[in-house]
Amino acid sequence: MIMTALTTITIVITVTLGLLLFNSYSKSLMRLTLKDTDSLMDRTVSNLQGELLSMRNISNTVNYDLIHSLDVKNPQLMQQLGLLYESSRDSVVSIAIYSNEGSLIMSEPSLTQKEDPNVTRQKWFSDAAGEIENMHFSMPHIQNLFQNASDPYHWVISLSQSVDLTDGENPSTGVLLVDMDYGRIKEIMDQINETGDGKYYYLCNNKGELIYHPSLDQINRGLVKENSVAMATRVDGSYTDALKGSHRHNQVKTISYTGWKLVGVVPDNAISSSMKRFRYFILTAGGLLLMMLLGVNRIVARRISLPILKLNRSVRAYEAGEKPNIYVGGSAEIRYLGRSVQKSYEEIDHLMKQIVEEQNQRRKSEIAALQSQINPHFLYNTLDSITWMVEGGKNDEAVMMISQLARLLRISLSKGHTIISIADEVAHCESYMQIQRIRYKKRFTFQTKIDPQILSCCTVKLILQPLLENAIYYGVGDMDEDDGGQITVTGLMDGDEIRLTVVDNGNGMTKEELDHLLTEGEKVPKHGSGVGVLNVHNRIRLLFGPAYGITAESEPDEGTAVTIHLPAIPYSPETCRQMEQQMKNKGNSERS
Amino acid sequence: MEKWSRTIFFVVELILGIFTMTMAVRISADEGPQKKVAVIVEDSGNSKWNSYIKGLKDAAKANNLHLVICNTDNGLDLEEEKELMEEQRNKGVNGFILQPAVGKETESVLSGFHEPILLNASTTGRNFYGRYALVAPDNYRMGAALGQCIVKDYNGNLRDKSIGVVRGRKEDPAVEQRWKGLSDVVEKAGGKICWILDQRQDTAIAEEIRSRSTVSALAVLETDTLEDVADAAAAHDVHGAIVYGIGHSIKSVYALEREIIAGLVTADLYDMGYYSVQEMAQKLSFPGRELKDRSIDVLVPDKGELFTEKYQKFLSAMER
Repeated sequence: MIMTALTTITIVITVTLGLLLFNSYSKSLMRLTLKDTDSLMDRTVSNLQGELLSMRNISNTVNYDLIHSLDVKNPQLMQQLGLLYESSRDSVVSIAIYSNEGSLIMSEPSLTQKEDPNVTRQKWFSDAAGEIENMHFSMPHIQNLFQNASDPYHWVISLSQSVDLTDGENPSTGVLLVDMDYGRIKEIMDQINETGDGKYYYLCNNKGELIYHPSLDQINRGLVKENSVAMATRVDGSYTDALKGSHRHNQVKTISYTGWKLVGVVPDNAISSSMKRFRYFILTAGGLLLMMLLGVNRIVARRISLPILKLNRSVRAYEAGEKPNIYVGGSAEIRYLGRSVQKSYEEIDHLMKQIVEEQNQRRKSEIAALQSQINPHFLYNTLDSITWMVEGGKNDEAVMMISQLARLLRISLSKGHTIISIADEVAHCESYMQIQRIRYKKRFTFQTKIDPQILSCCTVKLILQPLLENAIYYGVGDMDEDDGGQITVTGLMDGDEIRLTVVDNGNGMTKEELDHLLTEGEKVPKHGSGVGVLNVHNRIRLLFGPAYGITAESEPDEGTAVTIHLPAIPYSPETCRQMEQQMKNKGNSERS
Repeated sequence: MEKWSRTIFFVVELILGIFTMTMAVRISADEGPQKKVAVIVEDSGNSKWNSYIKGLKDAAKANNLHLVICNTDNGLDLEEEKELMEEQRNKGVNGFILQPAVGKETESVLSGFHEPILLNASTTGRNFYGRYALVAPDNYRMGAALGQCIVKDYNGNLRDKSIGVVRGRKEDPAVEQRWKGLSDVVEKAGGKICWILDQRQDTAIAEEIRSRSTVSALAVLETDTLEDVADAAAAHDVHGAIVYGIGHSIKSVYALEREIIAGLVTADLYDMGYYSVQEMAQKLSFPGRELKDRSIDVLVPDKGELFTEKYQKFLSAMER
């Protein structure tokens, strides 16, 4: 259970951490990539604008510093134009001035013009002639003006503007053309497209026509597509689009003077290679972490849960009545717990044995005390009475008393048996009362009224004698002969129960005294031990159960009736033996 | 219970261990080398291959292939080609894109290589052709298109017109097929091919032409030869014959623009390079896939069209 819980927590934490880390990394990587793209584009825009501004400056210089001030036939114009061209030939392919009819007036370098270049139909010318107030940057195109066998198809971007020409006395208009080397733009763009990490940059005009694209040849042949038309209409900023199912981030920046757009494209898959590697890294780290945590979980579980389970099993087995050794193992705390439980059980065992032993001892001693209470006490009194008779010369009475005493002792001993018949018990009490009457000088009378059918039933021996003793001591013993003291023992069968009642008409008891009669509380002994009734009650309950025992009724100055309740069990030696064995077993089980 | 728990634990740990190792291997496997493809064409530095090489490179970049373009001279023979292929094979190339060197043993040499081979020119034997995929213009169609140019300039009737043919190297099967296409069209239009000239390395083409009878038109079937004949024509050294030719170079186009030659038949070699690499890339990605033939479009530019958008794009690829 602990292992499962720990494993579940481990997996959830590992997976959650992995996902969070992956998500965070991918977002950071994309953010960083876009930031890099933006930064690179800013520098590129600056470079491109520098190139274009340089072209504009050349064009303006030719227009305002040369053409405005010099006649077209002035050789200085050609000379100045040549100097300007030489100073900027790295980026300028040619500078040419055309009349409004398309005739070449002059050019640098001085190359032979093609036979019929159709100048007026070329776009740069028509743009300049159409909108004379503006400078016009054309799309990249092959220069179709001059013969050049070594480089016949040079790609240029034409900057054209309408200019006012002075030809002697005749002012006219013409077109100034500065052909910029497209290679300059291409070089700048090629440099930023060299990364090969999936992202790329392209340049388009405000209609979306491509000026530069790293895959321009493929696009021209329809092998690749580009969203340049959509991006050309956007203001500077960041946009997302989808092309052939690939999600892409587009950064758009506008180039001054031209309205061209520099677009940086970062497809999602530009970072996919890094993300793929990072995904594998996360999975590897997650796998390792999971392996280690599972191992640690198992060790923790084995050190905590397994010892607890074993301890629990051994405790349950103990509770089920087995006698296993309580498990002692695992961590120090659990070992301590096991030892404590073991020690507790050993202590409980010891205490249980001690309690049982003590109870048995107590019971034995109580029984022994009870029995021993009777014999010496009674024997002393009887012998005292006999002595008194012999001294008084009452030999017959002494003989009778001795014979009664002998019968009493015989029944008391009963060959060591605890169970005797009611007949013997009644005989025992008659002997006892004969002896006592002589001792008390017959100041009271005694009679028995026993239902003959109960005489052959079982009873615990010597249960009537303590009651009779009490009846004498606390009832009629102090009465004069004239007072008519009387003690009667009755015995009858009531259903399955036998009732033996000792009734006296003596002093009786108060309610308080009666309530204390069968409790182990304070005793108010006047004579004897004062515990005789309670002993009898306990002995009966011990043998026959709590349904039986003694009840008592008394009225002060009226007398007392104490009734013994016994089950009606026919007496036989075999029954006697079985009941005594039952008592013995009961004592053993309580001990164990 | 304890035994089961231990078994499950070890099984889970084993599975996790295998998973972790696989992922760890994939981290570095992902950085594995690109597939390499070697390209062997005759005279690889010649400007006539500019658009072809551009196509190769663009496709290699798009398909994440490493391209090795072998340096070769004019007149690449079979033995040299074999040595180059073996050298590249030893360097670990995964495939070859070839202009097969002409020779009787070409088939047996190529069959000694187990790497995929794609051809950019047809070869001689009928049985041999078909065993290897071919990405190239249809040379018969090119020859026929050249014939159509001549026929068109003579209003469809070549009767009484004499035509001389300059074939370039005699044994080149591509030139042979062009020759067939040309002769079929010319003869059908009633023309007469007076002579056929095979260029020799040691003789100037102008001299060769001057040594032959005067013809109305010259048909040149190979780029290098066309450039030489155009130079001769510019020097008025071809007995006034009108020159037509098949060529793939800027110089050929410029000759057309300057009207040194009256007709030009060409092909977009960018496409040839691009589709060759693309086909090879697919083969290397899916080895069970067969390489497929592809015919490259034949172009017949008119002088007046050269600066249109269509041909500017074509010329753009021709510039290195």
